[in-house]
Amino acid sequence: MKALRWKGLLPFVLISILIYVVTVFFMDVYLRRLLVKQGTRLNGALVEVDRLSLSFLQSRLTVRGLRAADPSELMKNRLELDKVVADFRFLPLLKKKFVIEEIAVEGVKWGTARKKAGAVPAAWQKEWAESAQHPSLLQSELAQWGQEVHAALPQLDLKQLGERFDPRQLVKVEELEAYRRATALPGEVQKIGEQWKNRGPALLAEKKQKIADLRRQVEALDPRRFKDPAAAIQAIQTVQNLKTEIEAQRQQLRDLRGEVQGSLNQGAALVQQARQGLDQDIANLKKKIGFADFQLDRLSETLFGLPTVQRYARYLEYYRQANRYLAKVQSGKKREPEPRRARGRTVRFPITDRTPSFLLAKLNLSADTRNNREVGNNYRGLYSALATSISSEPKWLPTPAEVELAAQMSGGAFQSAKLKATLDRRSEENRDTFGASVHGLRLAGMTLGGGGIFPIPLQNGVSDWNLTVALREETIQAEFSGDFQNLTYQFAAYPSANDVVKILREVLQTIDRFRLSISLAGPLHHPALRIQSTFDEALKNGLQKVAMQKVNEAQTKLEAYLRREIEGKIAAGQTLLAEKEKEILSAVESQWSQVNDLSTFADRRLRELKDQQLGSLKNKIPSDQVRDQAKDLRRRFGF
Amino acid sequence: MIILQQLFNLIKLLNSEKGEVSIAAGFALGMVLGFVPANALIIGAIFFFFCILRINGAAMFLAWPLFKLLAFPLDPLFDRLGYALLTWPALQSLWTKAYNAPLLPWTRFNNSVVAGSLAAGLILFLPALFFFRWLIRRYRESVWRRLSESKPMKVLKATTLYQWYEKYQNLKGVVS
Repeated sequence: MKALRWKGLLPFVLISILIYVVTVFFMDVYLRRLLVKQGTRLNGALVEVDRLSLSFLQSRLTVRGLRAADPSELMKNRLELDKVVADFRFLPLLKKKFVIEEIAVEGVKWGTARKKAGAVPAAWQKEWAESAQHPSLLQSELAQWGQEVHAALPQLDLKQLGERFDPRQLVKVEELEAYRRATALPGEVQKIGEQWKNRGPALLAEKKQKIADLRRQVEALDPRRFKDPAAAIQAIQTVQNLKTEIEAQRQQLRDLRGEVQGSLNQGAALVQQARQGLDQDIANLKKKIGFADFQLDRLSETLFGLPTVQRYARYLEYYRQANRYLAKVQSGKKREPEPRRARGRTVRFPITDRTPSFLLAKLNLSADTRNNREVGNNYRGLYSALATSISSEPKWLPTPAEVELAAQMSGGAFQSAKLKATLDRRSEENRDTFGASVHGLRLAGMTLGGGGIFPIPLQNGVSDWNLTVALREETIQAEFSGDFQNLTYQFAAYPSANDVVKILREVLQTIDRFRLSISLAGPLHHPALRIQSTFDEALKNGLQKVAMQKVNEAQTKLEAYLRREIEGKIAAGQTLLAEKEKEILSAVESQWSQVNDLSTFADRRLRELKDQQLGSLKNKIPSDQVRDQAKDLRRRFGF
Repeated sequence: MIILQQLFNLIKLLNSEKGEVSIAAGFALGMVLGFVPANALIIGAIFFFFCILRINGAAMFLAWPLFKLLAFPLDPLFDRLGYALLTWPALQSLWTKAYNAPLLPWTRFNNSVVAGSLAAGLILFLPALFFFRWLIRRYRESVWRRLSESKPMKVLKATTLYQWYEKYQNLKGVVS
């Protein structure tokens, strides 16, 4: 019997072909589903991929239409990529090495609108919730970091003050006590008027009737009618009684006048209270506009606002995480998948083929954004990123890894900018260097020219400055020093709509010459910012001056707004009160003068009656008798 | 259906006078497959040998799960054996070459369990082959002979149904 059966090769070849065909046809579907699901899990919102194709013959992976929804705004995409093409080398794959010749990303967009909400499917959420009981290290760290980021509280942005300050954003005038009082004031005054109307006119009419009645009675006691001394004395007695009654009426009117005056004074007090309340509210609200903790260390928050600072802190965190995991790969701590049955031990052998286990030879990314709603309708930004020689074993590569980010903008803060980083980790000590060049940067009205790289000596004719950045493991050491002198501000030539630039320009306007040093040092997730300057006091004073100016402007605006809204109402209440006062007091005063007139009239009539009686006595009886009778009259009636 | 047919073929072959090496090789290769942790490349290689060598498939597929069950308790042994082999200085150049060769790194041969079980399988392949051949001979000489000469079997062979079956088998053999 022959041991070999060559015919058996046929089924082997057929089955191998079948496996290849099935792989080719279903790998795309499998990879697409894998990318969508794992991408969604990482993103926290739906990730969609229109098409994915993997070609082993061309050694190319193509992804088209990748959209990652924004978890905080599900109707928006956080990121959208039109096309991603990755060219890899096939042969190193056989040696378990991933060598990517180039990844080209085209059509990068962000913030685009979605047709459907990008919520995570419920089934996936359930599945992940079960596995979330054992989160990965990365997940735990990100969660913890997320808590840290959202714990901070905002201060008022400087850029929100000044011209753009809107008091209505700070306070709802309807909720102020002064507004409520001012609004209620006319009602209160009206109430005083109503109270008077209910009682006053009737009372006054009654008084008027009584006074007229008394006047008639006094008028009826004409001295010429009383020839008889006994009748005359009787008349004097009657007038004296009437006088007592008139005095009583007068007293009642006095009381009424006092009562009315009290009510009117109460109305005036309400007006006064409303005014005081307004002043108090204005003073309290003014205190809210300001910088309670105006410190240079927190300058970035004050100037740019917390969201902006948080955004850049997040970018730093992304870098930190990337650096952390990249370092793991480099140090060879990567864990290989274990056999299912038993873990065993993995033995490593010297690598004679110096092809890295992972090599990304080139990453090319381009983005074209137009009319960004946050920047303006005339905005266009062309962004590109190029990374080369990103590898798990950088020491085998002849050149260090390089990353270059470039941006060209129109309608933005600068014309073009380039950031370049060289990540040289081919020796024990990392020798990363970073550099930047900027052209047409509109900063504080100046246009700065670009220069070299690593470190960056930039010269623009008016100032020399220097920036060095060094990253060691998870720490950053960045220093900037600049000698600013003979600055020529071209404010008119570069009017910028950017609030921050406008503020910086105003600050720099207060300073003629200074040397500035800024350093950012410490752990990447919590670097400390230090600003020092030969003129730092001037800078600080300038900042404070501008800030206070903005605060004052805002406070004035707030006061004007509140006075406009509330004082009008108070004035209306006051006018109404004056009208009521005039109306009520005139009515009372009229009766008051009537009763006074009557009193005077009664006095006169009494005097006339007395004089008449004395005269008649002089004519009719002897002087001794007259004297006696006069004494008697004096004793009895007091004259 | 195919598995059942293979099983019937195995029983038929066992009970015939030929193919003892083929059956024994099937069992031995099934043992190797059972020992080694699941790995597409190793399984592919064994399948290649299965295709070009005269090996009884039914025996291999029968032995595979049985030896897989046996492999679980043997894993600590495989681990020790594999680690000893992988760290044996004399073999370092071989392993280094294999580590840097195409495809071989995908077999995860540098894992002690994979290396140990594969080595154990390969070392035990020939002894297992001879052992299974001896076992088949013993079976045919004692068990099958006694069974075929037993009264129930004779009664069965005398039935019309069995004779029809034998005719069908003969015709099938002529056609194929």
